[in-house]
Amino acid sequence: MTHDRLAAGRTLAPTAPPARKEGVSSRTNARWSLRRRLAVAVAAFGSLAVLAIVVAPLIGPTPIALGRVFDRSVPFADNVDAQIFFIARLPRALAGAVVGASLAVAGVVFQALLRNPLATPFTLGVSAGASLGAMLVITFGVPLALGGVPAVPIASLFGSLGAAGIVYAMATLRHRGLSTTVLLLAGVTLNSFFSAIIMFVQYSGDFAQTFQTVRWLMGNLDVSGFQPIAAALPLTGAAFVMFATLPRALNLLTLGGDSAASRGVDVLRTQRVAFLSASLATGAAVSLGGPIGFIGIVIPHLVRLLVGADHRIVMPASACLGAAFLVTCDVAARTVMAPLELPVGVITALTGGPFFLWLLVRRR
Amino acid sequence: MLRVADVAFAYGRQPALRDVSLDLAPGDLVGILGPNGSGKTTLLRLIGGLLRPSAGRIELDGCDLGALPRTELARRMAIVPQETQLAFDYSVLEIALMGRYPHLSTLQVEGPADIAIACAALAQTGTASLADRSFMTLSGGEKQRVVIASALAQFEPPTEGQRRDVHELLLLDEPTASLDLRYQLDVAATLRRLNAERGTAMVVSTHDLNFAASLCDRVVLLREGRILAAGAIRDVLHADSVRALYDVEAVVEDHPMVGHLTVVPFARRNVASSMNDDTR
Repeated sequence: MTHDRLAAGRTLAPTAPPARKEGVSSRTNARWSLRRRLAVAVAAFGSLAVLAIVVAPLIGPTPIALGRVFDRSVPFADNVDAQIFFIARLPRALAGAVVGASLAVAGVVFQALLRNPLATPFTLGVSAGASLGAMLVITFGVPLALGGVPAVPIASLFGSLGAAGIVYAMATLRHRGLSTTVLLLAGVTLNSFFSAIIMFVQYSGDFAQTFQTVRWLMGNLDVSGFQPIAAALPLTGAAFVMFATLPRALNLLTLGGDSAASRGVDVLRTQRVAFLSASLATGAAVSLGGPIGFIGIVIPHLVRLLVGADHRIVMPASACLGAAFLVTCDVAARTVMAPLELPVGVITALTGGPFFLWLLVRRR
Repeated sequence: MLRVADVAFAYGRQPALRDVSLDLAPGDLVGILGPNGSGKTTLLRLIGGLLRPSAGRIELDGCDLGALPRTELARRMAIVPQETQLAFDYSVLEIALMGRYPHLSTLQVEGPADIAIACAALAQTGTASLADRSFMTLSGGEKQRVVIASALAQFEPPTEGQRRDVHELLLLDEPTASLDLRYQLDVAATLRRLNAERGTAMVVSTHDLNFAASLCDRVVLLREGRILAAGAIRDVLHADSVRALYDVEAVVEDHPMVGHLTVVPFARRNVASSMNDDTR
């Protein structure tokens, strides 16, 4: 055949002889080893998170010592240090860890789902819905408390899930499958629409309520007791179980829908699970700590710069680093202007922003 | 191995393909030629199982395409899109390893065998030396060959010496449309070599007639969703068929140095005659 003759006559890119190929692949093998990279990343970022959670409760207006906290010779009822550590301060650190981890991973998932590095957990209207719910309860004082959980977190959770539901319905209504373009446009539109309602109600509300709403919108981890965390945990847990099934499919989604589908990925199912789990995690996190910005975008990018783009490493590493980062920022929020407490969202953006910009500039 | 029988497809009420039939044996190289909007990509997406035909049947190795699980399909057939834009940056090896997706369960990690297959696929497309590079920093031609390697990694690896019974089919959608001349030749050479060495069957959609002539044994000419002509390239591709396909006048001849048919378009078809054509 003509092309065979031609192919034979043309110098093609040389293929390595079999012996050398063997060497390349075993070397690559060792360097690549996913398990090892995963172990290193989780060990490094995980120990940061644990360190932050243990150290954070030691810092505060009443100085306590770690040695006395874990001193078994004193009964708990008499051990003031242990009481301050476990009852007064640890819940707040754990809440920070849960919120930070949830927002960071939700950011990773939304970025992969929308194939857009600028996406955040709040891009699709989840936070605006949560804010609307919280504000309505604050302004109109709806008595919604459920099993000891106060009204504001419940309302914000329903608000966020309602917003996610609207956006999802929009994106599937007139399309075969899920349109990420419509998802993005509907989310951005819903964000502005809800913000307009919030501004309108605030404008007509009284000063005390407006102040309370604004404080809620700034994000705040002032959690007392383990109860709010326990209330958020089932949702967060369900979201993280779903997250665990996603990483490899998300890797392939970044190639594009058709390429992913032709490699055997159930694209629609992946998109559904990704959207549902990330919305759930975001909704739970926002109901616990308010819409704390910046973590969902800076942590995923920081982690990608450090460990590469493979979601099997990026997702667990982001969860650990997100937790460590938010717990640390919350310590700063409590101490920088003590006894005044800053909104933690201010700290995350003030510290994370310049650092992230520096990283971006340094890499180019 | 592939049989497309009387297939039709419509996007909503807009018909895109009608009465399309095509047979493919292992190792065949078939080109789908036609102007923009003639239904080439639609046909390729139908064959790839990304769309379901509204009429007719598509069979792979005797099985209806709709009845095959998607991972089973992915082990026998792979799609190479015109261009691959990544949302996030992966290394070349990571891209090649993504081809192993249909062979692994949800939480399974690629083992040494998968890495060996991915490396072999990179070697076969002449991109083994790029394995550690970031995909985003590659040139268009390198990217396209890496994506082809990733598609090859979906198949069972070729065993040394003997010819395999497992059939593999590569669907390429305008693989050279966004490449310059040099990279077009690179990709064409890579595809020819894969066909010769592995016996990979290919369906290539393109509007580049010379690229098709350099690569394909058989072609299907598609215009407005219908097959205009199909058969061995020397029987089908001539000045008349090019005129019917694109409304252009062209010289189609065997070039002594090139070794395959060459098509040189030189004028739009005479306006008066095309108007006559329309009123007929």
